[in-house]
Amino acid sequence: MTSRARARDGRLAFGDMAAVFRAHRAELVRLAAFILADKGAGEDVVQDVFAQMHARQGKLGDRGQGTPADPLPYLHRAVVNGCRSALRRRRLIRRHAEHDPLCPPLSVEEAALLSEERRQVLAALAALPRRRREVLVLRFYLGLSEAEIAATLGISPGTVKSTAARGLATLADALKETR
Amino acid sequence: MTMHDDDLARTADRLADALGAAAAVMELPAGSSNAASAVPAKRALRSWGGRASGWLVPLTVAAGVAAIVLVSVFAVAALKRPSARQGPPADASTSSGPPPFYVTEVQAKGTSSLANVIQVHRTSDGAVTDTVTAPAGWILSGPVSAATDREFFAAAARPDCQASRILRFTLTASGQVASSQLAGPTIKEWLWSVAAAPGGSQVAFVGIPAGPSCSTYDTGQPSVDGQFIGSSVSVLDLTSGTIKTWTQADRSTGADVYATPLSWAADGSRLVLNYQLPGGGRTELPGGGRTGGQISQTGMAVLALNTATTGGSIQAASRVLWSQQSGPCHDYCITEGIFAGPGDTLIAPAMPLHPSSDETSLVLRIPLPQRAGAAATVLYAGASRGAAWYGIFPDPSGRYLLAGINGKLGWISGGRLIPLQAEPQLSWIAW
Repeated sequence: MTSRARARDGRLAFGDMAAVFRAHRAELVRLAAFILADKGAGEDVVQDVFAQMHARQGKLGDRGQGTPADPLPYLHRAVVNGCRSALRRRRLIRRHAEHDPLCPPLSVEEAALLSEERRQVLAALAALPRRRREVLVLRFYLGLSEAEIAATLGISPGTVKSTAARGLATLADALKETR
Repeated sequence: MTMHDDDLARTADRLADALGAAAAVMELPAGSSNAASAVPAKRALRSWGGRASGWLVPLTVAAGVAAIVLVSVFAVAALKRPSARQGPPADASTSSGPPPFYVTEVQAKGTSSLANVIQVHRTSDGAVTDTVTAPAGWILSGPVSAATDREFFAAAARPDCQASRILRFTLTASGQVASSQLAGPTIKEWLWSVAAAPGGSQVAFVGIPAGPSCSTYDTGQPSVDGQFIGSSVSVLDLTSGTIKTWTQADRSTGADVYATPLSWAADGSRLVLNYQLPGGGRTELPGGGRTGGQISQTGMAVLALNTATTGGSIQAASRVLWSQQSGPCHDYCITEGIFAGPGDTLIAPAMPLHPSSDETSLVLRIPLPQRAGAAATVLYAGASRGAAWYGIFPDPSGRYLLAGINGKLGWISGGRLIPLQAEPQLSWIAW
């Protein structure tokens, strides 16, 4: 069994779904953690995604959201969408909540293992607008191509390009200020 | 805003570096088989392409290579990193899972606070499968301990707490009580710590004298920080009914055995007990235990008692697994230590010495023998509020940790507390 699940009559069998879970869960949690700047919330999002996937009996290709043999694009889309929902839910709470500027996606112990410079980069990333953060994380954490990012986010490749450039520029400015 | 491509390339490089490093240290719960593979394998294989972002082509390759190198460095460093969070021994890809049942001792309804009932819970859903009550003339008012998945021992006392016996009960495969009976001789003390040896042939206990109202306060026996302490530890051989006792060699030092949970090495040869260091006491620094950003620690030692000896002096039969002097912590502040696994690991609730971690509680795994600079692994880190720890109890295999933290009961897995059902007013827990 490869890291990608096999297709059986357009559906993923339970064993295949388990293989998908084992193979990709950690990567997806980190993706969500970077987008949400919150590891715990990222775990919840990914858990929900897999629960929904299981409830749907693994029909991943039934809405043109990916091919049954390759669930990863579907999972990327689902996690990004789940993060957006989580951010919407969190917006009101965040308005009044204290924000930890140190290193948002990580616990205190984990953050302590990173250099100050890296913590600043992650804090600056967490401060970016959602769309820019999504594009940069998909690009520089998952290593997706421009076309793949466009498909994942449902935007044009040109928008991906311009959003990435603006996001990097904002990040560079923010990091200059913290030097 | 004017931004050179070089600036953007450097920023992209820093971003890829930071994401790769953060992914490498971001520990995830069990179930993530690729948790160690923090950077997606395909990162270096992708090309950004396109005229407008031509500067990103070499950048992508550089970022990918940098990320791979960094992750490799982190992977090596993680093996030595003192605070690298990992799952407990229980998570080591075992297929057996945690014990099927756990027990809680709670106050019996309509009785005095010292008359408890033991509830047997199914681990999978927390449902109470059966209850255990004391035999006539006895009350359950002390700790409970597991010898195997199905065999438990509890402390039963006379209603005036002037004498105790060990209550042994076993469970069926469905969690029903199969048998329940008093075992061993009567002990003329009140038992405040009980630990069944693996296999159930021996039970260790710390007994303390109690007043007629089941209080230690009217006996002159010291109580420190709400914990009852004793001066001796005993082992009851259930086969022969004999009791061996090890006693504090010199009471004038003021040192005592803590009545915190005792624990056994898996082979039953050694017993871990927590011990107040002579002269060290549990003197807290002014300012509620924290001053100038430093946390005070108690002077204590964790001893491994060789139970093959015939009794006598605790010191003579023990060796030190861990020790710390009272005063400011210079590393983690260990609050107590228990054995886990075959006896080559110490599990210790602790507080971190991080100014921003004032409200954090840790569970550490310390490899034995303790060496200077030996790495401790953080099994759990969670928010605490004041007196955070109810206790940590390994299962008989030493691979799964039952924990009561901040009023919540659960077991520790992958750095998280997996919640377990229990009534709010718990007296004791075990599995």
